[in-house]
Amino acid sequence: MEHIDFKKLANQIMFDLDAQEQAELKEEFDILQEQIELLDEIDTSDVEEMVYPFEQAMAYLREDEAHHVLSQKEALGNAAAVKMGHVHVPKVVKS
Amino acid sequence: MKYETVIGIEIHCELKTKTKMFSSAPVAFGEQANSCVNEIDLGHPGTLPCVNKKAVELAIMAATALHCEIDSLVKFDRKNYYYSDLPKGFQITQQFHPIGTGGYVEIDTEQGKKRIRINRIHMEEDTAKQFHNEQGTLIDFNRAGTPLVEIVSEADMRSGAEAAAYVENLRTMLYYLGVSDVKMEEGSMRCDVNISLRRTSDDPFGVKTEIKNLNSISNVQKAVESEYERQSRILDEGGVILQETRRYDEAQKTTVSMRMKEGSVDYKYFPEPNITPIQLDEAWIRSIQQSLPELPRERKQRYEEQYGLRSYDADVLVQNRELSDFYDAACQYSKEYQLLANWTITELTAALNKANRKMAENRCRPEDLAQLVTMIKAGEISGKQAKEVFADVFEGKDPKKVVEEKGMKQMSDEGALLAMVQEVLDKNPQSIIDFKNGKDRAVGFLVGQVMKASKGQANPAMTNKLIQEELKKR
Repeated sequence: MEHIDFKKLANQIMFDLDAQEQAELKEEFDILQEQIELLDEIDTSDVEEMVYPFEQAMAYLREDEAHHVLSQKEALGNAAAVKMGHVHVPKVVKS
Repeated sequence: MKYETVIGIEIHCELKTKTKMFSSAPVAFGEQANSCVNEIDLGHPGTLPCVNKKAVELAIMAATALHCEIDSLVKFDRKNYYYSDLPKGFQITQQFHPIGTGGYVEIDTEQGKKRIRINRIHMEEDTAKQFHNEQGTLIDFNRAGTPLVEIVSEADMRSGAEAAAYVENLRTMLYYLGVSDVKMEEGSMRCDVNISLRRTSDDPFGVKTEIKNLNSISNVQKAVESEYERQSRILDEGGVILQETRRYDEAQKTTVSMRMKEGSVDYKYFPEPNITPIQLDEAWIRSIQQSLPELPRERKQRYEEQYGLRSYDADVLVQNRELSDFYDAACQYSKEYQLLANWTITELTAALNKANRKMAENRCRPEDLAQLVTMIKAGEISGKQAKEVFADVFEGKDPKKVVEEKGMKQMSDEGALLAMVQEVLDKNPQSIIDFKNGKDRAVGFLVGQVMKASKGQANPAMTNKLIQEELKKR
């Protein structure tokens, strides 16, 4: 299996990851990897790839009518930090 | 050294829909932050996108106007990248199956008409809006999921003027179609320009730079011209152009580097599995294509061919759809097309500017301006009087009534005018002698006397004609 550098990955997407979390994550990934490798045992040489759950194209398009909107309070409910009605995150661009 | 500029343009345009591309949350500009979103726009787990019919319709309209071939099997793909303006971690776009391909736009250049080929037009969703300050980044998700079309041209433009003409052309076209608000300053139309230089048109394309987010048509031209200066200077000195993303700095009047492009970013595109392919009804597509409104270039052609307008005037009218609609309405009431165009373009526009009114707030009725123009042409009022009358017509008054109220109607009744002319001639025998002795100035004096007697209301042209005729009889 290809070695995954979790520390580097976490850094790239701006997450903090301590040594214990790294170890846990690696353990989970190893299990996942093993399970995925099981799929390699299936012979799919004659099977066409399938992107969609249905082979048939459908025709449905949604009418352009506003039905469902969250209140600002609900919309921001999951945010770790809120400022002036906005989601507040650490700066991600250089000034 | 002189180089050829090679320009290709990508334009993002927000579609004029009531709801988002994939959710039923409302699309709005200037609303309270994060108040026009739902779980789909925020990328909550378990939510599924659902394609907006109106957005597809508008994209078909735009693709048709661009002479593109329409793909009736609508498919979407994922563009994966990780950034705080993109809550799902991917943007849904049409990488592999754009709704329209292979079209063109015609522009006017100094060398005549030129076709700029369109590579593709595809549908996608907009990202959230971010505000960066010292403390961090503030995110408003209202814009997230707003329907967009991206229009990609081929690298067919060769100057800043051509690039500006192309963007202007697209802007008015999309506005006439009602596809988008096309407000560059508000970001509902955004423009990225790719520029490279080469010695001659036989050489391969040079290394290009991309200038992002140009917010006005004049800046498109200025950015291209300043980038030409920059790149040609580097090439003249034997340097190499770096592939990078730049922006146009208005204050410095030059382009400034934003970031290097280290090869192409791998967005790991793959088909969007949550939207199964959608087969559009061919009859529905045809009905959309057949009901396209008159486009700006067709309208311009009509003005020139049917109304005999000068090309410049036709252009000025067409570039402002509301003004042009007003002119069209006025033409229903008068056949003095060129004179009407003059009054619409100069007097009406100037009055609107002076009163700080938009066309939507205009009180002047097209039939009244048409009437005013007809009265000028018939010699019922002089050009000078017409300007005075127009001040009231601009406020929504009927020009006939204004003329009556002000008592300024020109006297064009030939019988009454003739009586007045004869009276003046009887009183001025010396002028008749002067005229017979070849003093043409005498006529001017006599016209002046008639004007005086009529308190300025006599039709000057008619008075002049009658005096000449009467003088010859005496």
